[in-house]
Amino acid sequence: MMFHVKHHPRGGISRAPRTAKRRLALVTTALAVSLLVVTGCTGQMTPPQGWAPPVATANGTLLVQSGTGRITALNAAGERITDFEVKGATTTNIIGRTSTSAPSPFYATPLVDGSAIYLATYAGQVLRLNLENGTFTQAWRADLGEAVVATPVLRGTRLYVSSENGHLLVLDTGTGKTVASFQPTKGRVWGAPALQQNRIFIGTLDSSELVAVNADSGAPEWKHSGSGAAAADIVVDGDVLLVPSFDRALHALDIAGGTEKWRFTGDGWFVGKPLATQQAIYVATMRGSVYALDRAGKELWHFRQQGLEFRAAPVLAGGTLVVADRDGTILGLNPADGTQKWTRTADKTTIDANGTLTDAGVYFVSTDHQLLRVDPASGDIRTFNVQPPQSDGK
Amino acid sequence: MPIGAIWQTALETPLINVMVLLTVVLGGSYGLAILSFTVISRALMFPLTLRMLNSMKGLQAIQPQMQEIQKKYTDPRRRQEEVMKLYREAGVNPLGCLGPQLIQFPIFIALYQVIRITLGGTPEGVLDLSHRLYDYPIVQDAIPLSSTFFGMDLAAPGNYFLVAIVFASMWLQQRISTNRAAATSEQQRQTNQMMQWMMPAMFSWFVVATPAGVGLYWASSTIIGIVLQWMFVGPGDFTWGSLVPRMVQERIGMRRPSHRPDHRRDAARPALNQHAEVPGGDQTESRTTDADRGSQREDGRRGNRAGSQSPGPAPRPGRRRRNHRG
Repeated sequence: MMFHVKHHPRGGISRAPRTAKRRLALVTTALAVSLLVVTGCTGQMTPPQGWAPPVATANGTLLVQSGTGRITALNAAGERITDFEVKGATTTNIIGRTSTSAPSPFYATPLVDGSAIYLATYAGQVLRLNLENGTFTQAWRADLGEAVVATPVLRGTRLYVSSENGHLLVLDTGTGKTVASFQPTKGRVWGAPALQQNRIFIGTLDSSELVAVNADSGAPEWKHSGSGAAAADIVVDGDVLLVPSFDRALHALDIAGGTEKWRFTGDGWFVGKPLATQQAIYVATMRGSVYALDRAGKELWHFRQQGLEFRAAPVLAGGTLVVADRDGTILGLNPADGTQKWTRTADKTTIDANGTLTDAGVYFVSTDHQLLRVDPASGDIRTFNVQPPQSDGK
Repeated sequence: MPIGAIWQTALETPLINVMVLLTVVLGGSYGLAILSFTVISRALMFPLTLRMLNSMKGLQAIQPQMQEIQKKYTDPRRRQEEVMKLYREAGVNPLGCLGPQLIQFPIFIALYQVIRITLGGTPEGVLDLSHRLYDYPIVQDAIPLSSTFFGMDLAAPGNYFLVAIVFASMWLQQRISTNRAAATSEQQRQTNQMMQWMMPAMFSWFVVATPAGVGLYWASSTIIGIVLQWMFVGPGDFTWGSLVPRMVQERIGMRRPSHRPDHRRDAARPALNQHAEVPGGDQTESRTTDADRGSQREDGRRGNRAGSQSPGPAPRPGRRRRNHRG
């Protein structure tokens, strides 16, 4: 019970009149606050879903993340061939009870080397699968114990895996054993490092630096600070490294010494990999802009559509620059001047992953694991169901 | 407008931007941003806190009269009326203490969400943050934020150092808010005891389950609350010496070895009821017993007053504190 004490003019005390209106206002306010609090309590974070793009093998087989920790092989017609699910890590607690964690998604792009496929899950499981006679077989599996987002780098018989702790782990491709471990940087590595000869270039999210590492010794060769938080894949373009960043800039660094040659500032975060062609460098932002730049970082054209958000990298296919917005709007632009050729929308679709160009078209995979094939000439979209049948789903 | 959108627009998104801005201003330290936010939010709530503290002070001041009413009236309805009359006369609101706590609760929940969003648990979470930032380069360019503060990962749950601090500070806050001597019945004493341990335990569990940044906020907010209460109301009947275990107190001479009065036994002892002389008469056995139990408890706890069985109203806590400080 609540009392409002009101001092009477004559010194006495009387209870303040409380009208029904006031009570109603109090109850309404209390209800609104309670509802807000409940809403705040129940707000959920997005679980890790993974943004590994589809990958085509030499014989036209398409590898798609078809579920959390599951990869599906499809033929050129989009028909399912086989699946493989990466089981969670098994741990034993102090009383000897074993438990297996839930499967973890793929952020890293699957690497294809002949019939060998290298996968890295967010939970730090790295696997080599062999795809032969329409079946996946596991050659080895390594549990790194560190989260992996960045696509590994394959160099001969060595697989270089960058972790979220800034480690660079070197695995033997034949056995999966860790042969070396370096700490070239601190913080999360999300973008795929770039490889050139015996140097690996690693960009970091947390420490805003780019490091060139000797692939044999792990020794840092140079370090560039101030390149912003790099979440996208790093691209080698001649003697320049293209580093997209959260600081709304695309940084071009000299590959030999790491000095910045130029930087282009856009209107939002760059999280998609830049596309370097002979004509131009194409890069998109999370604010709905696509830029074409020349080799000096000068803007050739700029396309912007309010409300769009580009996380996927642009794809140049048959004379059309295909860009996919996160909410399923797919645009075909003229790569020469940025004019819009066509636009299509895939309903109820979220696209975080880069697209992949094949002879049949440009493939995108959505966060709910739908595979979309876009015809670059017309913009027509065909959707494929890549979910395995329920009976062998697990 | 859906309620979730209101929550986001009115509270969550502004708070996200405030936290990012504070982090930038404070040299990229998210921990310092949380501490600054705590100070700012407590400063904004200070008028309410002051009202609450005055209310507490008023409640403490009328404890003797409260005890008298408890002794005097057996009819619960009449007793309630008299208590309410006393509240009105003294100009205190027994629920006045709840205001700042209730306001802090949505902030606590919003901050929990904000820490989870800004420190980005998943890669998607970090990218989704882009939508929640206002279009100013100072906040846009600040991402990602460092979650490390003095070796603690503010995004990770289960920081036991902060759990210990939250438990200790909440225990102390609860302790100085509760005047043990003022407990008018065994039931109230037990309730006070339960609250004394339950509240810190409950909030410690929250801190175990939520990101360490939330624990940092709660710990610092509680410590500020303790300081304010100490300054404006005083520590009640709490003394630092009371934290020393009884056996140690006796061994080092802080307390004279004495037979600890058994409250339950004393409560049942009819002989004590002879002190139940209440001005105005209308005394009852049960009320008298409770009152005596209260003074017995206080005396027993203080040690050097053991055996004193003054029937008068409990003295003001502040006065006793001055006598025993140090």
